Amino acid sequence: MSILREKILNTATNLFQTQGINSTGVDNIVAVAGTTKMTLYKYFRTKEALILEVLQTSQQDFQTWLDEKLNSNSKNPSDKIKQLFNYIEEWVCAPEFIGIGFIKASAEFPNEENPIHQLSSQQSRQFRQFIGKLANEANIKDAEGLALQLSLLFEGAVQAEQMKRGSGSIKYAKKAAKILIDGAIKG
Amino acid sequence: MLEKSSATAHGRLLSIFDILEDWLDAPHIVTQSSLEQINTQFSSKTHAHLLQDYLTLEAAKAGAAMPEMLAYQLYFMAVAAVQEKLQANNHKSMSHAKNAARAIIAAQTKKEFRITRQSAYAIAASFLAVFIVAGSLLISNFNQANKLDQLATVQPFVQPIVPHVLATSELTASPEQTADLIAQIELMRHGNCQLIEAIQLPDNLKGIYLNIVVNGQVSTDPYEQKMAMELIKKTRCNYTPMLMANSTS
Repeated sequence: MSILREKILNTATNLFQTQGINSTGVDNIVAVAGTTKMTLYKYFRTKEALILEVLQTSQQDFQTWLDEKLNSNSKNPSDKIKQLFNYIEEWVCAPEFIGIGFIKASAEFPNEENPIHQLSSQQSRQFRQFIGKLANEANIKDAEGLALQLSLLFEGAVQAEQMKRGSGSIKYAKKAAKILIDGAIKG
Repeated sequence: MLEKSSATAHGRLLSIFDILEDWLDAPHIVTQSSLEQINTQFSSKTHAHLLQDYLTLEAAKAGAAMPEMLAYQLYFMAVAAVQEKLQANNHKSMSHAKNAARAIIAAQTKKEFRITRQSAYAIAASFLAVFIVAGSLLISNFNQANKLDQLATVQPFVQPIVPHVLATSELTASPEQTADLIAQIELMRHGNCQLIEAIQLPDNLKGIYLNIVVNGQVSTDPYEQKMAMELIKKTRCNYTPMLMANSTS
């Protein structure tokens, strides 16, 4: 990836999360990135294409980081699901955290026909499937149900955190997740 | 409807999920063509603010640590569950959301040991005062303890003193116990007594030894009296008059 393309992508990621996707115009992005509209459109055909790429990259970064954390620190499947919210908390509480792309995008693009809404819904489902996989590996009976409960907690806490930075929502979501996971493990 | 749904704030916070489920399940209300309209209405700012304000109020009544944040969280979970039900046709979404809501309410309303800044200052000040008092007592007792130690013979302090749990009826020592203790202490005044192992005692026992045995400040606390008696038993006393002792050695 060219340095300029990466810079545009990083700038857009930051502006979308801090100012909102709809509120951030292409003019803002090029001004902050120190480039021109022509260059931006050279790399990203439309603003929508840029948003889609931002969502893909952000989710990939988060998922890769989470996978590495889970795989390097715990081998036992039960431990992995128990540790999940610890790592989510670590990610959310990091100073550079600016939000989770698909959560913000789904709120800003409620129309089901919109490709941005579709991608954010798909990423939300994939994240839930990821939790479901962890729950399955931990031999949890209703893995799908637990995955939905945990993903609702996660999305709710992140939305609260996006609205009010340092709200502490993730701390309580972590406690709630422990209650749900312990309950599910006991069966 | 929410207001009358439960007698408790906790129940009213949870009943939002039941009410939404009933509403979404009603066939005459939700048709395919109205799905998006419902979704949009539920996510509209006016509805969102009204519901969030109500949830914040109920969360505060339920004793949530952070009512506004809990309200946001419940609201977002409800929206996500509605979307899941409408878009993915997941019939269990509301009941799962309710379970998750129950857990987050429990996490927020569970009593924690929270210290306010004022309380922290008060506690710190109390500790400081206790240290000052204890320090001055130790200094004043140091000379007397030294005198007793001069005639020491070192022996291992073999039996540890185990505190016991008191029954309610044992909150104050009986007059007989107190009298026995005072008599023991008075007797020790006529001899040269020392307990060199006192320096190795845990702080609470050291305090009892210095205050009661050395200084004679007898407490009515039965535990302290019992410990003091135990310590007296361990204390070695020489009742031979000093002149006589010197002449025989």
